[in-house]
Amino acid sequence: MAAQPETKSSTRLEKWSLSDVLAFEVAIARDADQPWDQLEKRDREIGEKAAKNGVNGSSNRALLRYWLDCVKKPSAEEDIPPHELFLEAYHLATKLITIVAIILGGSVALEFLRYQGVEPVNVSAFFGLFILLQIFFGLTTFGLFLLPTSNAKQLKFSAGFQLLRPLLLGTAKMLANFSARSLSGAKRQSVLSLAGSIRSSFSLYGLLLRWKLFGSLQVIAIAFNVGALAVMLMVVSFSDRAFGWQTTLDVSAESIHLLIQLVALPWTWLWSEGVGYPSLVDIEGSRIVLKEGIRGLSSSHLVSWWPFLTLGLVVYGLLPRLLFLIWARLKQNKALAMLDFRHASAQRIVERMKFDPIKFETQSHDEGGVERKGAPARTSDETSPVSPSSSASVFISETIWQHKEKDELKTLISSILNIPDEQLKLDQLTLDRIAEPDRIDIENTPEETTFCFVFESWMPPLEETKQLLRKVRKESGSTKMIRILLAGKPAANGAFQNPSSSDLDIWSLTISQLGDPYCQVDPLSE
Amino acid sequence: MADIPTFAIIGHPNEGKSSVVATLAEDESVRISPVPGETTRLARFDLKAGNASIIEFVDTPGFQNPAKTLAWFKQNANAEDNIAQAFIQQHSSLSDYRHDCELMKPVASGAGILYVVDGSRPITSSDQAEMEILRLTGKPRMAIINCKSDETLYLDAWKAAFRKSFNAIRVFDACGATFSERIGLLDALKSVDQDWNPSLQKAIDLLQKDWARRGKRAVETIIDSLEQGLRFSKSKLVARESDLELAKPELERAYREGLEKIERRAWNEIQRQYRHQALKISIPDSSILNENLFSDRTWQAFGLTGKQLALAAGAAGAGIGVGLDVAAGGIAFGVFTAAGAAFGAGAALLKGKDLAKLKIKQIPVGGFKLQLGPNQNPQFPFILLDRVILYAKICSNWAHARQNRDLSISDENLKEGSSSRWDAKQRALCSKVFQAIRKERNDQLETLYPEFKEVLSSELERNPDH
Repeated sequence: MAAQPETKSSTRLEKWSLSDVLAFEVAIARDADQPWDQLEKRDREIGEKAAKNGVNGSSNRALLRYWLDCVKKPSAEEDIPPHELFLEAYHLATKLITIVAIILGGSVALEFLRYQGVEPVNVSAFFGLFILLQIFFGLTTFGLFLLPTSNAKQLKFSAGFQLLRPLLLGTAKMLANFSARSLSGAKRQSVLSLAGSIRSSFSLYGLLLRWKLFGSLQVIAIAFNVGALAVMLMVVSFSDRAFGWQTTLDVSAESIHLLIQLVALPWTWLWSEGVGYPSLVDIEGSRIVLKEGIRGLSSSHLVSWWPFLTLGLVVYGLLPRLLFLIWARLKQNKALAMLDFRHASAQRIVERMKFDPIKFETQSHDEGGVERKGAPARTSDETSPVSPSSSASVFISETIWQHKEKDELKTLISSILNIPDEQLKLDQLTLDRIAEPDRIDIENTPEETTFCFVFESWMPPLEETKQLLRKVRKESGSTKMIRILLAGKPAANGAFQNPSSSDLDIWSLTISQLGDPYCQVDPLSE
Repeated sequence: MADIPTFAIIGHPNEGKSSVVATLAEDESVRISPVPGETTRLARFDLKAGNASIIEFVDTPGFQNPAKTLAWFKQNANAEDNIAQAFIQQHSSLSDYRHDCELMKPVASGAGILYVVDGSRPITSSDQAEMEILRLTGKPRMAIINCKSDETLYLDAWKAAFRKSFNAIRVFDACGATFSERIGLLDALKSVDQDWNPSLQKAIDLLQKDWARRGKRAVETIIDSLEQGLRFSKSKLVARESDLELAKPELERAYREGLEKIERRAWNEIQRQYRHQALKISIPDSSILNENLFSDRTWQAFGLTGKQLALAAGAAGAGIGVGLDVAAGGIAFGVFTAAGAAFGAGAALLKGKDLAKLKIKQIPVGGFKLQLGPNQNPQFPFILLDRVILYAKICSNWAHARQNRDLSISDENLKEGSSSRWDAKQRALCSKVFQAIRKERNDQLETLYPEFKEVLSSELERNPDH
C-alpha cells in the first residue's frame, strides 16, 4: 500500500530537485519487475488520493511528484534509498576531491613560492601557472559548456574530428568484431540495450547532468584557488619573500609593464599602479640576471609583485569559477524546471494513476503463460487512459492490415490509444513504405498527432524497422510520442491473442537500443 | 577440400536456422539462442562420415532489410547474372546491410538454399519478401518448416506459400529429428536440383555406412560393459577377525563405485561414438537414468518381471536354481538396500538386490581376505543392459540442436527397459550370454555373440520411447 504524502499544493509539487529525479528513475526501475496489476492498483489509489488533495491533473510534473512522494518511502529493511545513497556518495566524492584540491593548490603554490635567500620567487612561472593557465582553463570551460550546443555539434565536422574519424571507425569495427566473437547474442543485445538506456537517460536528463557536473568542477577549481590563495597570503604575511622575473629572451621591461597593465585592468580602478601591480621602475628593479645575483636589487622592487599575483589569482582563478558556479546552479534549476515528464515511462505512470483499471490478463499465450511485468497486457473490457495527443497517424503492417476489417482495427487501436475513432488515420505499412520511409509524410503531420505503428509481435524487429523509427523520430521532433502496438498471433477465430512475454521482451529490448525515451511499446490484443 | 555439396541455411532472424545446422551437421558447437541476433556472420559446418566431409552447411545471420533488399533485387533482376554477388558489391560498405550481405555470400558462391521458417507462426509480408528475394537469386532452394512450438494452425498457409517459389518443402523438427529424419531431409534435397543427385546420394550412402559403424561400435561397447560389470568384484585384506565387520561397509562402497564407474565409462564411450563430445546431453532431473544403478526405482523400471526372469533362466538351463544357489552358496548380506524384504521369499530371490556374494577367506600367512562380487543376481545383467541401451538410444537420437527435453519415464509404467519387451527367445539368449560371461566360457560366447549383437543392433535401431 502506498504511503500518503502530506497535502501539498500543486505549485509546490511542481518543484523537482535532482534527488527527486533520481528517486523517480529508481522507482521506475523497481517497478519494471513488478506485476502490472499490482502497479495498476497502487497507482490508481495514488491517483485517487491526488485528485482528492487537489493535485493538478493536467500537469505531469505535479502529479508525478505526488506519485513519487507516495512510492519513494523506503521499505523497512532499507535504511537509505538508492537515490540518496548515490547522491551521498557523489557529494562525499566531491568533498574528498575538494579537500584534495585545496591541499594541491596550497602545495603547488608553496612550491612556487619557495625562497631561500638565493634566488627570488620566479614571477613568470607563478604567473604562467596560476594566472595564464587559469585563464586558458576558464576559456576552455566556457567553450565546452557555455557555448550553444549547435557550436559544439560543429566540432564533429572539424578538421580534428575528421582526422580522427578513421581511427574511431576502426575502433568501432574492432569492438564489433570482438563482441561478435566473444559475446553471445543475448549478451550483445543486453549491452546494446544498456547503451540505449544510457542514451535515453542522457536525452532526458543530459542537460541536468551537464550542469551538475559543471558545477562540481567549479567547486573543485574554487578549492584549488582557495588553497593557493591561502598559502600565498600566509607566506607573504609570515615570511620575507622576494619576487623577481627573468627571461632569456630579449624582452624589455616596458613590454612586461604593458602586459601587466593589461592583466591588471580589472582591478586598477581600485588598486592603481604601484599598489595593485608593479610600476615600470619596480619591474626594471626586479629583473633577475643570474650572473649578477639579487644583492644589487632593491627590496621594495622585489616585494612589489605579490599584490599583483594575489589579485591575479583572485580575479582570474577564483572569481570566474565562482561566477561559473552560480551560472551552473541557475542552469541546473532551469534544466529541472524544463523537465516535462511526458516521456514513455512517465506517461505510463500517469495513465495508471488517472484512469479506470486496466485488467491484467494473466493467461498469456506464451508457452509458459509467463506473467508480464512492468508493462501492460490489455483486455477488451479495459478503459484506456487519456492520451496527451488528440489524433494519431497509425501505420499497420500488411499482415495485420489484411487480417482484420478496418473498422475493427480502428476500434481496437482507439481503445488503446484513447483517441476517438474519427481522429485516427489508419494506413497500411507496406513493404514499399518500409523500403522507402520517405513515402511516409511526417513533416506535414500536425504537431499534436501521435505516430503509431502496429507490428506483428512474433516477428523480431529488424534493422529496417529500427531505421524507420529513427527516421520518424528525426523528422517528428525529439519529444513526440511514438507508440508501437504489438499484435499477438491471430487465433483460429481471427482474434489477436496476447503477445507472448518472450516476444514482448525481445521488442522491448530492441526498442530500448534506440535510446528513445519517447517511444512506447504496448501489446495489441483483443 | 573436395567439391562437396554446400547449403546455405537462410531465413528471418530467430527462426531456428542454427538449430537446423547443428542437427544436420551433427555439430554441437553451433551457437543457438532464443534471442534473435545470435549469428552475426557466416559459419561453416561440415557433416562428416568418419573423417571425410560429405556436405557443408553454412549458417547465416537473418535478413535485416527484406523490404529494401527486395526492392533492390526487383530493380536489378534482369541486369545481373549473379544478382547475389552484385547485391554484396553494392551494399558491403553499408553497416545496416552487414547481415544481408553475409547471408548472400554463400548464395553468390553457388550454394543451395535451405530457407528455414518457424511454421508455428503466421506468415507475414516480410516472409513473402524473403521468399521472393530467394526466388530472384535463381538458385535451387528448399523450404524447411521448423516448428518451434506445437502450433499447427498456420502450417497449411506456409506450405501453400512455399509451393509457389520453392523446389521442395520439408517439415523438420530441428530439436527432435532422428537419424532417419535427417537422412529423409538429405534425400529430399536431391529433388531440389538434379545436379546434386550423385553427390548427395554418395553422401547419404556414406552417412548410412557411418551410422551402421557407430551402431556396431555402440553394441561392442555395451557388450564390453556387460562383461566388465558381471565379472566385477572387489577384495580387501584385513589383519584381524574383529576388523571384518568394520571392513564390510567400505568394501560395499568400493564395489558399488566400481560398478558405477564401469557403467559411466560405457556411457561416455557411446556418447563419443555419436559425436556428443561436449557432454551436451543433459539428462533431465526426472529421468530414470539419473537414478543410482541400485536404487529401488531403477530396479522397478528396468529388467524383467519375475515371470519373465524365471522363464528366461529356465530356458537358459539354469532355472530358479540360479537364485537359490546364490543365496545358499555365498554368505549373502545387505550390500545395498533391503528393498527385497517386502517381497515373498521367492520374489526376493528374483527381485531383491541384496544378493552379491561376500567371500571371506583366511590367509595362511595371517589375516583375512574379503571379496565382494561378482554379482550373481539374475536380474542384475538385465538392469545393466537396459540402462546402457536406453542411454545409447538417447545418444543416437539426440539432435545436436536439442537444448533440453524431458526424457523421464513415468513411474506408473514399470519395466520400461528394452529387455522386458523382447520375446522369450531373445530373453533366453540373454540369459545364456550372461551365464557364459559369468562363467567365462569364451567358446560359448563366441557362438552366442553374433545373435546377441543382432538383438542389440535391432534394438538400437528402434525409435526411442522416451
